[in-house]
Amino acid sequence: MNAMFGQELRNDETTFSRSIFSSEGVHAAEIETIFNSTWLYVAHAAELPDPGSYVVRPMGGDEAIIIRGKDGVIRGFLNSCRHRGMQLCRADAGRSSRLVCPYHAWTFDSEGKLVTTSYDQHYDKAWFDELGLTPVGRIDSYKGLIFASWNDQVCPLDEHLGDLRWYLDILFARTPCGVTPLGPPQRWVVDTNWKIAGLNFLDSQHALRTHAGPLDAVYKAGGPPPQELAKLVDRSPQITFPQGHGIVSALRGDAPPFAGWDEALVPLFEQTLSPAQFAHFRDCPPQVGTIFPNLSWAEPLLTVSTRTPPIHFLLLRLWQPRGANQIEVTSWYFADKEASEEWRHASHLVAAQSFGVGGVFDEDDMEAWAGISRSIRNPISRRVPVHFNAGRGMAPIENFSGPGTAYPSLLIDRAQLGFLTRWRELMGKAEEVA
Amino acid sequence: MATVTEEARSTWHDHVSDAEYRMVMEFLFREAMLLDAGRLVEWLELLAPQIRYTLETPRFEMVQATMRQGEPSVCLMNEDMGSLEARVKQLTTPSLTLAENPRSISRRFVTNILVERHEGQLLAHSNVLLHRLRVGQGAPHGFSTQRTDRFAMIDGRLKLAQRQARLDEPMINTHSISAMF
Repeated sequence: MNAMFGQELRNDETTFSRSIFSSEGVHAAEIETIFNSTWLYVAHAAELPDPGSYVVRPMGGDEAIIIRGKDGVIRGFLNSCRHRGMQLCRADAGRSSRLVCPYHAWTFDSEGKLVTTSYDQHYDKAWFDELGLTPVGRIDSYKGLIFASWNDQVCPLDEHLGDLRWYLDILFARTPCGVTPLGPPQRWVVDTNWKIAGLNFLDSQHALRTHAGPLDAVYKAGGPPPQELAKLVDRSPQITFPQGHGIVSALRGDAPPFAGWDEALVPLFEQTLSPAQFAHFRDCPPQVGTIFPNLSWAEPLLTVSTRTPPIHFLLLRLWQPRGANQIEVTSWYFADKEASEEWRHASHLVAAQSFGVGGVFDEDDMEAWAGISRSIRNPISRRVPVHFNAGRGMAPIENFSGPGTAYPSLLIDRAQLGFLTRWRELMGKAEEVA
Repeated sequence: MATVTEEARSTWHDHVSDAEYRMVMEFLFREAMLLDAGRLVEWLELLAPQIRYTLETPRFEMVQATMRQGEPSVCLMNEDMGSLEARVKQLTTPSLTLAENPRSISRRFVTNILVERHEGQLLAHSNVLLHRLRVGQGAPHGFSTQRTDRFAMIDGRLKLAQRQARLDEPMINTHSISAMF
């Protein structure tokens, strides 16, 4: 294992081997040490409205059924029949009071209990209690966001999310009813490493360059000119957390407070959030971020059309690895339940136009990620180290308006380094065992 | 959003003349040629100012053991003239696009064209297979799509007023669309 990581990994805390983004050996260790050990996002509670509502979601190298039981409790199970291992649910989502295996018709209730094998006369009923669906180790939620872990010894979810919860309130629970997904998620495949995607959502240097096209449209629609935007980005804060999470905040600049929001929501924000959260949301919203290991969000103020004023939309992304060099992306749009139908529609429109498999921002991001992965897996290329040392000497902001460790520019690598430092902490333990 | 498509599937509207069928067919073939060639500014001229352009994909869903496929759909693109103009500017300006610089090699195969008249407007259903090879990708990707188009006559010229395209791919096996169908 040590040799695989490369010696330079040990030499400098900001330097990493490229092989951590391309080696199947490293990835196999990640599945055990990270994906099978920590909390993974699986669903939003609003996706499971009724008893029997379920979704099928990736969890590490496996697939889980997340289902609301007839008792209203949300549970998670391995998507594999206890009889011969058949995939129990083959659709993306559904609703059913019972999960029936399509192979031999073993039947489980919505709480995972084996109800019948269809040939019960040949089975010892006393075994049935032990032949229920394989449950996840832990499942818990924070403000509608459901996380699960295969590890029943995992730390409490509150501890995993830590101080990030203060910002998650601002994003997902800033009105009395909270947010709800705008339809089922988009899903697509990108030939890249899962960490490259999560790190991109903490990277602002690329934003000004890679997204010059749509940012030009934002400018033409009355947004800041590119030079002004670059200055604003250079003095906006990025925030890191010891759990590896990170935030790209965005100073409001000259824009009026809560520009691009449904005005009727603003009093609800003020009523629901604490005064400090409300002020932070108004002046320096948590615009983009990554929740360790593989969940990212974005809530920019955007338009892609000179004919449409900029509007906010909320995007949540799951980066599910399929080996070291491919990810499956699941991508949801959200809106506050109290938002008007008109605002929600306008928000959804700009969201799909800009961020998604058909979005003008993503099409260039994904091209870059796939290009990185095509290069860094190669025999010579993978020996070259990769650095995350921009802003290395920069001191944190004192008395920052929110929790976490904040740095006074988005054009530095501290949030990305925070993510990778956490990755290294966890993988280091795997190395000791190896 | 799916009303035109759903309605069209269940009901056959009024027949059109051979000349009208030929006019629509030529429109669709010419449009495909412009898109394949990256002549996107000319493609914009085929659109009515009030264009609504949507792209959806179904997902696999199971309800009480009844397999449903098609509803609800996942929205992938939802465009108007302003956003299409911005897309075209991005895709045709080398310094503003990474995805299409160099431009992908694209070929559209338009088939199964049915034309009818509904509420005084021409309505066309067609299938399109977009065969695309993008720089750096070893294998081409095939986008199979079904489209329902509504046309308008503006100053004596046929213009596309609405397109509802449906991609046959719940899990899209390529990293971005960056194309029009």
